[in-house]
Amino acid sequence: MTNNKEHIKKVLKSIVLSEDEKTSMRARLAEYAALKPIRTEETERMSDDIRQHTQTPESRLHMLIYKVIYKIKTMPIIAGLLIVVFAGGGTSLAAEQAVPGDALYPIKTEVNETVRGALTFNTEAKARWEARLAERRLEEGEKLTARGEFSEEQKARIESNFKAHAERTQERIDRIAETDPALAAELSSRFEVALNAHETILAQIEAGDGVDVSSLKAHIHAHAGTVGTLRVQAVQHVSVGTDVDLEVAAEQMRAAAEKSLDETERLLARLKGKLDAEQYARAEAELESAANLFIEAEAELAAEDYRTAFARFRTVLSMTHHLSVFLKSGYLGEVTADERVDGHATSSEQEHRERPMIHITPLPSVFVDTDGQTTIPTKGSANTTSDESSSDETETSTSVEVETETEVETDGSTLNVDTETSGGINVNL
Amino acid sequence: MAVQHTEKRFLEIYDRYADAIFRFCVVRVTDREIAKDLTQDTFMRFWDTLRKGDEVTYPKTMLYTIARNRIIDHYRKHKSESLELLSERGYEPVSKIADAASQSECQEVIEAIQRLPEQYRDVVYLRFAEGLPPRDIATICSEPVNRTSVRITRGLKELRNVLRIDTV
Repeated sequence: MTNNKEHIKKVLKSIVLSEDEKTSMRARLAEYAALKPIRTEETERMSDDIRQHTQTPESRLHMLIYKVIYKIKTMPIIAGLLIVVFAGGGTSLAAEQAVPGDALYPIKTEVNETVRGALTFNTEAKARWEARLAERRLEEGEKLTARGEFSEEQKARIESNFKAHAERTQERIDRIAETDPALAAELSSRFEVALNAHETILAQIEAGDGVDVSSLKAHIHAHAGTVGTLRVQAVQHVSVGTDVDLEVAAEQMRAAAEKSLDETERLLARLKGKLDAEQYARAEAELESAANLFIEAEAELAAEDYRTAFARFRTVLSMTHHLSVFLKSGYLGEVTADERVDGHATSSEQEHRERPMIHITPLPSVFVDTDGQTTIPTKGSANTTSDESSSDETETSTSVEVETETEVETDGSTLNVDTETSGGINVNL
Repeated sequence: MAVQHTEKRFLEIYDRYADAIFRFCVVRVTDREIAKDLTQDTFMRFWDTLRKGDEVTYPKTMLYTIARNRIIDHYRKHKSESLELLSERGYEPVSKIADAASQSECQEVIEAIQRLPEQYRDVVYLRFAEGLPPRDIATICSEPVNRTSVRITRGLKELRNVLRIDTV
């Protein structure tokens, strides 16, 4: 044992929090602080007699929630799960609707999401879950934008959390791409179109209520670009594989497309009563196009045209997933004549503010790439209403048609169909 | 905006002092997990104070004061655990960075501090490990300065004996 005083001090100073420990505590404290903002003079006057130090019944409760969450997080996973199952129950469920700023939000992120994350055991499941987490942050952002109260602090928090999840998703997909490019193609397609859909939804909500979310949209756009690159690479990797690999890839994509198609059909059926008639018709048409594409792709699969089948199944997946993001957003509902008075005070102004109407936009065809051609997604129609998007679609269809003619590749036929599809949507518009 | 300015300031204070508070807690309760709990608790109460709008000119001193009180409360609730019990339990190493040799040195120092008579532990740690001036230590322990100075001197002497250090 060295008798050097300086050495001992140095050794003691090495006792610090790890990076992770420090940042997670910081995040919890930031939320705690946001949950309990600075008192104004008003509340100060009211509370001076009653409250002595820092121990109010309210702050006790808040601190208790944080302590409980902290304890659950540091327990072995099983114990934490059991606690959530037996004691959480309704609270956990209620927390699912929370957004940053709500009392139950920490339960949503630190308990529910942690538990669900702990139940993902393989890389694929983790990648899907991480992507889902990124989407949850965006859904929260949409709710807050719709409410019209979206503080800079909340925006910053959602942006940084979204960014973290999106980056982790990309990392996982990247790693998956090394051994399973077909799966990587599916995951990246799915994530890419979801990001695109969310960006569009945010833009529409923003246009309706004026809360500026350009920074968040920029983040989404940037990540959609990166994921798009991943997607292109993965798809290319698949296309240059052996015939056996191609067949497997096509089968995988078929399964994914079928699942997505089924889910979206069920979703639409469930929402039938709650959807605007026009929106419902549009969604139904889109779904029908996707179903037709699916049948064609199956024919190609049977004919052993694996490359085309793969691409077409991927299109089905993209279209249906894009559509389901819109359907799940909860902003497509029936707006009665009373409410539709452009922001003027009506009896249901509250509801009008909280649920602006958005319009389903069809999948931009830039998200369907040609075999071997790289098309990095560019978003010309991000901030448009349905009227403008129809003219954009017309332009897009035209250029797509040209490409089709020069492309002798089988994927040219995919483009053909897409053109038809776009045309179909235009008719409906 | 005043609110955000304070929230920002709060987090800046956290960034600066989190490790120091954590260290203080670890040395005094000899358990990382509990220390983390106490650290978070300390900062949450610190925020509660900031909320009230009072000016806090010396956040460092206030943080140590709150932390010390949390530690006292912790011991009140967990009277049964003695130092011997903790040693037997084989808890995880307190420092994640230091190598094995330094680890055991760390442990020795911590145990030495914990073996000091109760009234010396806080002051010795704060003086020896953190180099705080006696005036601040007196504020943290809610004691008059001269009494604190005496404690520091005697405590350090004890520590010196236990650890056989030449100059402390």
